Amino acid sequence: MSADLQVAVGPLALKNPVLVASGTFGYGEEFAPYFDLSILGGVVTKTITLEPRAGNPPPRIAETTAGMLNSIGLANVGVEAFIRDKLPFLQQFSTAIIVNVAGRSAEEFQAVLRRLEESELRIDAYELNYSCPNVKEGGMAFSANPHVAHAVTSTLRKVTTRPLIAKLTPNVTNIAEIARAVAEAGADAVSAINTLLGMAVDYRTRRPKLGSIVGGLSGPAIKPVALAKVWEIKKAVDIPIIGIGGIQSYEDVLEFMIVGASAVQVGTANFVVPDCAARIVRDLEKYCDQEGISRVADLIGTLQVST
Amino acid sequence: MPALHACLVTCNEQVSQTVFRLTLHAPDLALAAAPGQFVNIRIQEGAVPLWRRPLSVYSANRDAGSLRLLFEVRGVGTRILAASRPGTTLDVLGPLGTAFLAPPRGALPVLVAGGLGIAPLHFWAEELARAGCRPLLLFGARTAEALCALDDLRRLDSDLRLATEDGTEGMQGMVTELLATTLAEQPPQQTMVYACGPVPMLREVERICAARAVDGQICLETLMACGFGACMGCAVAARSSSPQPGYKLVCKDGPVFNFGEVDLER
Ligand SMILES: Cc1cc2nc3c(=O)[nH]c(=O)nc-3n(C[C@H](O)[C@H](O)[C@H](O)COP(=O)(O)OP(=O)(O)OC[C@H]3O[C@@H](n4cnc5c(N)ncnc54)[C@H](O)[C@@H]3O)c2cc1C
Ligand SMILES: Cc1cc2nc3c(=O)[nH]c(=O)nc-3n(C[C@H](O)[C@H](O)[C@H](O)COP(=O)(O)O)c2cc1C
Ligand code: FES
Repeated sequence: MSADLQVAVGPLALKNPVLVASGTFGYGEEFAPYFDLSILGGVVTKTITLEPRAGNPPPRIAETTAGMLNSIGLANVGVEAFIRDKLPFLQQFSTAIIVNVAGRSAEEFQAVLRRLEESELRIDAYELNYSCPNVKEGGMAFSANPHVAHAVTSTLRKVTTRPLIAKLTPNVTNIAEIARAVAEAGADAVSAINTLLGMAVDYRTRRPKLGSIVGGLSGPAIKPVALAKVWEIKKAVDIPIIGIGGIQSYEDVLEFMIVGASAVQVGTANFVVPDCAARIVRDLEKYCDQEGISRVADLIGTLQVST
Repeated sequence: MPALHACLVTCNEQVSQTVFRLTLHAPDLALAAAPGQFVNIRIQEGAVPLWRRPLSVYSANRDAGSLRLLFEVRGVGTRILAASRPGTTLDVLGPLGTAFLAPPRGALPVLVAGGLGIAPLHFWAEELARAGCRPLLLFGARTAEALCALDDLRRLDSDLRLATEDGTEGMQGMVTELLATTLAEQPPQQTMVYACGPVPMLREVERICAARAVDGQICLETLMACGFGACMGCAVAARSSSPQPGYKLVCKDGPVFNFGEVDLER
């Protein structure tokens, strides 16, 4: 007997719950030498904006204890080049293609989405990056304020019938409130979390290690925070959650699903072990077989809490 | 094509106070690697240190299926690597990055190394010598002790010239001064320069060569989270006329760049 790894994230059907996170998987091509991308539940592409962006000045990364800081700054080829040069490559794989988008304003978000809608190529869902801490002009603003998050989501809901996933930042007082706002505005799911605001300093030179002083913390160091955020959101809304933060093994996936995630995304771990996500899918399947778990979806939200 | 390799450590020698020379049994890598390229090593399992550590290929022996690396102990990762004993298996990703471009037919390759910058240039000198293209190798460091792996360099079929800042070995002064005098003896169109070392040295190399219209390439280092173009963390400013900076990725567009391709002033 082989375990059934399929899960549903609202209207989005996935062959398994293991996706790769935006900004940590390039446009997919970079990982093709290491494994067949079709094994993945889905690929979330690097955030796309209307115009190409060069990104922030270096140094853009720093290693921290069990994690890393980045201030890449949404460097990307822009929506036109994305459709022309990057999206066709992903079509050959039987895995969900989730395009992550961002804009400096609701109008810009809308323009990116409209352009993608015009394309004939397969796109299975959109992830709305409301949460990047690295963009001066806003980014985080979209998910720091529930009214703004609601307004932007409502506008985007009118542009597409494809599944919309709002990606939330943990850098707010009340993430559940934001989740509620986007759910009411018609988002099909949320993903949580994006990076945590952090800083690294060189005591010898008395300089920050990042060119932009502060950046986003990711990797195993943030897993406990991510689990707590997924749990908070789970208690507040009914829409599905995609858990993100420090996942590097099938055990981590199980933890996120038990807490309430319907699927997960592997991020920083892709840099260290390029075929990490593929290994996780295989390990997850093996575990379910061994434990007699026939449907992995049955694990979602099964956390035992004594009352 | 880069791939993940499980490589057996067959030898790890200390060649100076802080520098080690590591030999790996890695037949596929030895076949695939070209001078200028690097490998990215997972120091140990677990999350600390999190990133792999990039090291240039110092030497490849295709017949023996072995690959050698030359590294300096800088911090946590290289300290653990320095302690790895024969019999240990290392998780090695590679070969990664761009390789040096062959010199035009008949041109003299002039290799300029500062300190540990010798690592990729040793492999390049090895290959050039093998192709019957005897290189001129200029190697400089602060003191004689920092001129590591001289044993290997002296065995190569090359014209080796040394410089130390304190005069304990070779000419007293900077390796760039050696370069300037060497180029003065050479017709520029019959020379191709390859340099690896600290950024101020590379800047000076590009300046000296530009003054004499000599072409060449440099090999750069940056912090790297992935080493294969996925994180965009290893960006360096590209040389351009526009006020908005564009960037190149050292791991993918480099580490070998043509003179003038990246902006070493930024
Ligand atoms: C393409 C490439 C090829 C390289 N080839 C060689 C080589 O052949 N031999 C060799 O000795 N080193 C080489 N390096 C540098 C080497 O990667 C670093 O010295 C190493 O990663 C340091 O790791 P660590 O854990 O010991 O130091 P850490 O504990 O991470 O840091 C200690 C200090 O080392 C320095 N450092 C860390 N990473 C780098 C880096 N990537 N580049 C420069 N300085 C760094 C910083 O000053 C830091 O503060 C190369 C780097 C690149 C990008
Ligand atoms: C280098 C880097 C670049 C990232 N770029 C993006 C991005 O463009 N868009 C986005 O929504 N998230 C981006 N992220 C955040 C990740 O998608 C993910 O939410 C975060 O890293 C937490 O997961 P992890 O701990 O598994 O890495 C980036 C993260 C890293 C480390
Ligand atoms: S190190 Fe990740 S893109 Fe170069």
